[in-house]
Order: sequence, then structure tokens, then C-alpha cells
Amino acid sequence: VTAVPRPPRLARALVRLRARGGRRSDVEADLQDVYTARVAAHGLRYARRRFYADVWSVWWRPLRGTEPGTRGSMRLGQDARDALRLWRARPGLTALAIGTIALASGAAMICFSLLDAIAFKPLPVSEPEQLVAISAVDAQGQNHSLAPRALQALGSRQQVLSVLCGYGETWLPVTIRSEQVQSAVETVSGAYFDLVGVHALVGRLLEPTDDGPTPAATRRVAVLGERFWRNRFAGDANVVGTTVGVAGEPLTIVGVAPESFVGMQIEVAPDLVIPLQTLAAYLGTAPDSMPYPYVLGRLRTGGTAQRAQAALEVMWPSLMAETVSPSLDGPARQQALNRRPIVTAVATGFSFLRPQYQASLRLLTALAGWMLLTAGVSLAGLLVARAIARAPELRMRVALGASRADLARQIVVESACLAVAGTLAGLLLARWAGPILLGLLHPSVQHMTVNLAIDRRVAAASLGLATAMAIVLSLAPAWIATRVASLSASAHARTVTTSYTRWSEGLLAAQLAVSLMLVIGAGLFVRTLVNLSDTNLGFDSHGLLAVWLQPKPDGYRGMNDLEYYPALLADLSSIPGVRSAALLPALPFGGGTGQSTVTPSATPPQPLAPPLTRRRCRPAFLALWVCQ
Amino acid sequence: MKGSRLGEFEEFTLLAVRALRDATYAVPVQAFVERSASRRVTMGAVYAALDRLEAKGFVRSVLSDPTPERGGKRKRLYEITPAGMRTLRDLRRVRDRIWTTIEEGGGS
Repeated sequence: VTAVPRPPRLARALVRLRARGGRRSDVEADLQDVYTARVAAHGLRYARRRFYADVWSVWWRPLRGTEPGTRGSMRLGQDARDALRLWRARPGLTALAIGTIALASGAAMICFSLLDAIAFKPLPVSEPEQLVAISAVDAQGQNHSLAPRALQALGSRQQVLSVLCGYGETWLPVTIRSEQVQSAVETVSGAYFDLVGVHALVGRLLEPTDDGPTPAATRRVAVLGERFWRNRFAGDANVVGTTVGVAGEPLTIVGVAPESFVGMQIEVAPDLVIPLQTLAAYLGTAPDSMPYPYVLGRLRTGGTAQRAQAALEVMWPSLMAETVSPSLDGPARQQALNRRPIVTAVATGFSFLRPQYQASLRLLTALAGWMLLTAGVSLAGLLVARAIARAPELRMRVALGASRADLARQIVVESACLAVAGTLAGLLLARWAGPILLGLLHPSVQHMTVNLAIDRRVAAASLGLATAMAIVLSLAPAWIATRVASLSASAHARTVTTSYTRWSEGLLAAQLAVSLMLVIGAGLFVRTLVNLSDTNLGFDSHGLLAVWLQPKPDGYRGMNDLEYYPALLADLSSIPGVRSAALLPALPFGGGTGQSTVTPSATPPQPLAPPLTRRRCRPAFLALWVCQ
Repeated sequence: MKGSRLGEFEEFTLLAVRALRDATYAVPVQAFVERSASRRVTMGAVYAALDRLEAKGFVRSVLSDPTPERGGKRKRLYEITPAGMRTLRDLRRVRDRIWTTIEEGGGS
């Protein structure tokens, strides 16, 4: 027995909704016959496409012989067509209404899609909800790296995670055919790709055998990111086996990761993925002490981060006692032993935008939602004005037999159609403007890979919300329209005028109220920005320029810092227009500070003295960095 | 009867009902018109045309008995009426007359 192919469920539901009563049975069976024949002759995709076209054609054409139940949907179709005719008759007003909704819904969708992308969207890996990060945290809450032998011991003892790997990411100079580029590099242990569950596009990915506990035992290999491979190697499939210089270390390319792989950092997809131990020479660490900034793990099926936390806490003290470096002693060793593990879910990956902008984006999304409400109230006011202007036409309809329900339904359908059109335009606006807003959040990072795509659930929710709001807000205009049509024809014109004037005033007041709140909020926001830009930083920031130094690998061997930096400062200061120059490891008010306890030498040591924020700098810093 | 003139698509549909002989239904009509006219035809267009033809009295429809191959559902079967046949012949006669005139080089 051959199974009969079933058309898409949604399309079948639409047919049932449209062709109820006497025609439902034969129309459904006819469409099924056509679908079966097309699947056999042309394949499933073609049949589905044509089926939707057939359903659409049936939906919009009235069927004879349908029972009263079908009239509702037929009337709705007729009302939608009437709405289209009205739009064509008043293109300016229509464009204004659609544009208002498009702007408001577009702004809401941009803010929400950005918030969704940096805070809620899971990583595009298999079963991202199983991914966790394990950190060794001290009493002050600071994260500390884990040595390879600790990772190895952890992997052999624990039972709650199926895969475990070390992870870090950084920017490094990469040399390709004598050209040097600054590239995003993930520094990992060999099980990383097993953890994220992706397969190679070309060649192979890193494997546990590539990785060793020491730099000497680690293979000098690298995996390219798909975009880096296309941009820098023109998508050459023979790239496997060639060499690339990473921080001065020649690494052999063994494969290319697939396009879907974006790494653990959501903002920047890695250009290369390399075993961390290959960087030991570049970073000048001892052969066996190249620690992993993070440890990532995949929970076994049914496991939770809380259970993993509980299991690791039990084994952690003995694990640390065995694996903390023997070279550590005294208080430093005790501090290392006192660290405890923290297991956190990382289904949404790592992000530097998240802590910075999550709260602001939530606020912006709420403001955009409020703006959408304002647009809805404005639309209601517009519909009231239009209903009043259409009074003669509405009276004519009543004279020809239309009921008050018919008139009200037409206004509601028109409002819903405007909301749908406006939201669709807003969707296009959001797709266009989303990347621009993202660029404004962090202009220094080029080629951000944050996934801003507005998925179906967001689009459907926006559409549903805007339509529901439009329907609710159109009830008042619909009621006014029915009053206008039914009473104005009689001798009670004055009553009607009073009635719809009251409604118009009410809507106007509501519009003013919501708009005023928005304006006040925006005003406070602008005032805060002005206050921030006028804040006294304690130094004259006028004419300051910041220049970052990016050292070349192998370019400074045998260099004497005590001679190089003063000479560099002297060269910079001698440039015409530069008054003075200074060196510092991080910009003031730009993060990157350190803390230490400072006590005057004349007083006895005070162990509980509050730490001071310190910043190292070369002479002349307080005068200027590089001053024009 | 709501008018006796036929649009192009109505004419195609009526011809299909005639060509497929008695007791055809919407699915073969759609396939026939699509194949003969070499253009895509939706089921909605066929239903609308058959409804109009029925309203004009050129076809009549009855519901068949339920059949197991259609899951116990019935077909709406159409057959051409004498008025429909007359209209088709009239149309053909008009067209033949015009073509004869064209082929004889007249009418210019």
C-alpha cells in the first residue's frame, strides 16, 4: 500500500477555514488529488508550492454553495480588498500610517533582535544547552587560569561531563606569504571541536592527539575559519599542508572549519584555531605552565550545571593539591588551593557586548515598545478622522443594507491590514538598520559576526502583537463609524457630532499622554549624555590622541626597553605639532586598571588598608599622551 | 441566468468540461486547461469559472457518491447543458466566420 502524501498542515487548515459547509468536503478532496498527482509528477517541493498557490486562490475567491459559516471569511477578504482600495484613494495618508508603524515596529525589532543576539540566542552548535564553562575563582571572585595537568586530571576523574577542553581567545599577528595581519585566534586544547560538535569543511579539525601537556609534545598545526580561508586564501582547497606564521610560530594548516562555526565568542568568529601550547614560545612561559583561561565542558544527557558544580566541588581540593605547581609555595600556594570551581552555562557563548549593553538594550526595547503604543494610538486617531471624513460613504452603505457590524468589521480589518503592512515594512527596516546599530555599539571591531537575523518567532510575535494592538485600538474608531453612519442620516446629527468629538478628544489626550512620556524619557536620556560629555576628568582632554603599539613577532629580539621607549617618546615628541608624549599600558577611564595596597614607608604595614587603583605610566603622562 | 457572454477563461473551462465528456470534476478540468493553454491555472480560478458557468446555466453540477479512493469524500461532477453547447457552437461559428474573412483577404 502506497502512503498518500499529505499537503502542509497549515495549508490544509486554511482550506478547512475557507471552505466550510457544503463545499468543504469536495474542495479538500480535489486539492488532495491535485497534490498527490503533482508529487508523483514533479516532486514534493513543486507540489507544496503549487498547493499553497491553490489554497491562496481558493481563499480569495468566493465559492458558491457554501453554507453561512463561510460568509465570515469571505467578508473578511472583501473587507481587505476594500481597505486596499481605500489606501489607493488616499496614498499620502496611507504612507503616513504605514510609515509610523514601520518606524515604531522597526525600532522595537532592531532593539529586541540585538538584545536577543547578544543575550539569548544560543550558539549555532549541537545541543548548546549542554555547554558549561568551569572557572577557578578566588575569594575576591576573580577568575584564574587552569594548568594543562589540572585539566588532564579533571578530565580523568569527573563523571558529569562527556567532553572537556581548555579554551582561550586573543588577537595575534598572523603572517601569510610575508604579509602580516592581526587576526582573531582561538587557543584551545585538542578536544575543542569534539566539544562544539562540528565537522571539517576541508581537511580535518584539531584532534586530541594534536595536543600535548607541554609545548614540546604539541603538534604545530592550525585550523582556518571559513571566512578567513575565503578572504586570505581565496577558498583554495589545497591550503591543507601549507604553513602560516602565528605570532612568529610556523604552523601547518590541517583544515578549514565550516561556515556555520563561529566559535565561542559571539561577536568575532575566529580566523584561526590553534593548540594553546604552540604559543608558549611567543608568550615566554615555562614549558609546562601554559594555562588555559577557561575550561569548557559538555554535560552528559540529563545533567545540569548545578549537579556538575556539586560534583566538582567535592573533588576540587584534592585535585588542586595534586596539580598546583610545585614551584608555588607559601601564601601563593595557599591562595591557589583556596580557589573553588564555578560552573556556568555558556549556551549563549562569551560576549564582551553583553555585560556592557544588556541593561541598556532592555531599556531601549521597552522604550521602543512604548513608541509602538504611541504609533498605535496615533493610528487610532487617524482612523477616527478618516471615519468622520467617510461619513457620506458610510451612510450610503447603511442605506444599501450594510449593518453596523459590517461597518465596524471593515474599520477593524482596515486597521489590521495597516498594522500588518507597517510591521512588514518595519521588518525590512530592522534588517537594514540592525547592523548599523551594532557598528555603533563597538565601532573598533570590524566584521562583527553577531547573528542579528530576525527569526520566525520574533517576526511572528511582532506581527501578532502589532495586529492585536491595531485591532484593539481600532474598536473606538469602528464604534464612531457606526454611529456616524446610523445616526447622522436621521435627525440626530448634533448628538453624533458630540459623541465622536468626545472620542476624538479622548484619543488625542491618550496620544498626548503616551507621547509626553516618551519625550520626557528621551529628554532625560539626552540630558544624561550631555552630563557625561561635560564630566570633568581631572585633566585637559582637548587635543589628546591615543596611539596603540602592536609589536611585530621576532622584530625586537635583544632589544633594550630602557633605550627603546625613551627613543620612541623622543621621536614622537619631535613630530611637528606634538607638544609632548607619554607611554601607558591602558587609557585613563578606559578600563584595564590594577589594584594594590599602597602604604607610606614611614608608617607600619597595614594589612587591611583599602587598595588603591594604580596606573603605571612614563614621565609626562599627566601632561599629555601625544598632544597636538 | 446572469448574462450569456463568456470570458476567455470561462470558455476554456467550458470547452474542458465538454472535452472531458460527462461527469468530470474540477481536478481533470484544471489539468486539461493547464495542459491545453500551456499556462499555470490555480484551483481557485477553476472553481470560480465553474461557479460562474453554473450561474449562467452553461453547466450543471451534482455530487457523486462517496468513493473509498477519496477517503469517503464525494466529487462535484459537472456536465455541460444544452445552453452551454449552444454557446460554444455560436462562439466557434463567429470565430470561423472571422478567420474565413481573414483568409480570403477581406475585411481590410
